[in-house]
Amino acid sequence: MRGLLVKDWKICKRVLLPMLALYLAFDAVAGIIGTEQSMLRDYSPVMAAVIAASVVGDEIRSGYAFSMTLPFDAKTFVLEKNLFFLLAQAAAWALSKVVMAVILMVSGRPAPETGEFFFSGLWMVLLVLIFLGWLFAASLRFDAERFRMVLLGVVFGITILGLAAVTAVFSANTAVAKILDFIYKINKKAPPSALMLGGTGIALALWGLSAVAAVHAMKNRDF
Amino acid sequence: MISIQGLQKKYKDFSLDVSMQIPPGTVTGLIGRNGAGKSTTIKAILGLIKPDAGEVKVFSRNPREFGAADKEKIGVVLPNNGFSEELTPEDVACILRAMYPKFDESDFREKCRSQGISMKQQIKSLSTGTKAKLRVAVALTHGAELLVLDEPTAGLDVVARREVMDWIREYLEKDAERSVLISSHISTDLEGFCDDVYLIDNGAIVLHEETDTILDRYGVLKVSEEEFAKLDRAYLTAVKKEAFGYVCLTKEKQYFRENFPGIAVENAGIDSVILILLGGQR
Repeated sequence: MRGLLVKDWKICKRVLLPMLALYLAFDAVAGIIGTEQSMLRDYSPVMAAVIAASVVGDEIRSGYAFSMTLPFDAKTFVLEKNLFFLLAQAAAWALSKVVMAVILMVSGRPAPETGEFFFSGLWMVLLVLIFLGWLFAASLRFDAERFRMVLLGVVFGITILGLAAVTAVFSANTAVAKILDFIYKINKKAPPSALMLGGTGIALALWGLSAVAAVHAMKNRDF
Repeated sequence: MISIQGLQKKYKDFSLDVSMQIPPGTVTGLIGRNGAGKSTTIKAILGLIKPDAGEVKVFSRNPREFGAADKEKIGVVLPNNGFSEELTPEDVACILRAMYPKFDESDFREKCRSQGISMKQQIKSLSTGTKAKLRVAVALTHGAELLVLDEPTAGLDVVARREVMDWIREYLEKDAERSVLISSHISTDLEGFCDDVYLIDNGAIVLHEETDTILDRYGVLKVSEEEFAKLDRAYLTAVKKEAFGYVCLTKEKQYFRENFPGIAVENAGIDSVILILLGGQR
């Protein structure tokens, strides 16, 4: 697994510096103009996701066939990639906390509670991990051309669903509005810790399922 | 070392049906036209495709079930497929060091140096030929027991091809049990190199011979229509119609030399075997 991690690290290093520079520039501007802290917090997992996705994209371009001849079995290959996603997210999360602390100190704005400071925004990390896990599984399931079509379809689908949800909120008593209302009510009634645990459990299950799907795809696809 | 029995793989407009044996310590050439089934056969050997029928065994195991230890024993070259082109040869050395316990880094660096491959240059900025040499250097330097090389000399000039083939010879000299399966459309590469040759066409093996047998026993007869009518067809492997008459391939050139002294019988090379077998009637 070490060899695969070294490989992914070497590939992501090529895009790391420009992405990091962009992130710090964004933070500096955001710090000066006093942007919402949540924006700074949520931007870092997205940045790490772009870097991780670029590694998957690079692997697709280079051809999976050769990667499959490297000395690893399917489980190790999939575990490593998800570990790499997790490490990227952890690094981005840690970096965002450092940056936020610096901004708070320099700007003199009131600091949030310690728990909130450290754990706020973890939902975004989980969402990104689920997205990356399924993105990777899809890249193993489909050849490059079909993968692009699937990705396009998913992005299009999410956009349509998002628009439908927004429309529903502002308009009639539709099914989507009812679902959103139901989630809102649960959110209001349930204690925060239960919500956090439940959400984390669901997220981890979805992420784990993506790994199972990736191993299955790898074992059954012709490369 | 490799055993293929009745391997079948069907695609929309192509189907493969081959059987092959590659014993330890041999160099086997797989030749054929583009789209004949060479790469599909190689992919089946590497466990990259799932056969529809038949059995593939490498080191007496199904390659689809290979673990890390099995894969370490195989050096692979696939056309247009390798490490990310964003990497440098220096990065590749670092990755191989972490992946393969038997990686010979000094040998890898020496091979890169001897071919003028810059260790700091990104692979994407290297020429097609240099990329091909790098792929071969990777396959040769991690202590593999079996090399599976799909068109390793594609894109290389004559000098570089000779150097790459010399690398493979050196690799073989280090251990008598090492085997190589090499596919190439450049038959001169294979002629002086392979112990035996499989010729594949339309997904089927149409010829399997030891290279020495081809060079010693096969001959090419160029005859007019009248001369062709007098020939003993039982000894002809393939016949191709030409403007002047017929070009015939025989596995018994000595028979024709002794019994038909008026007919010129040339020694056959792999090229002529391919041309007549694939272009003529078998």
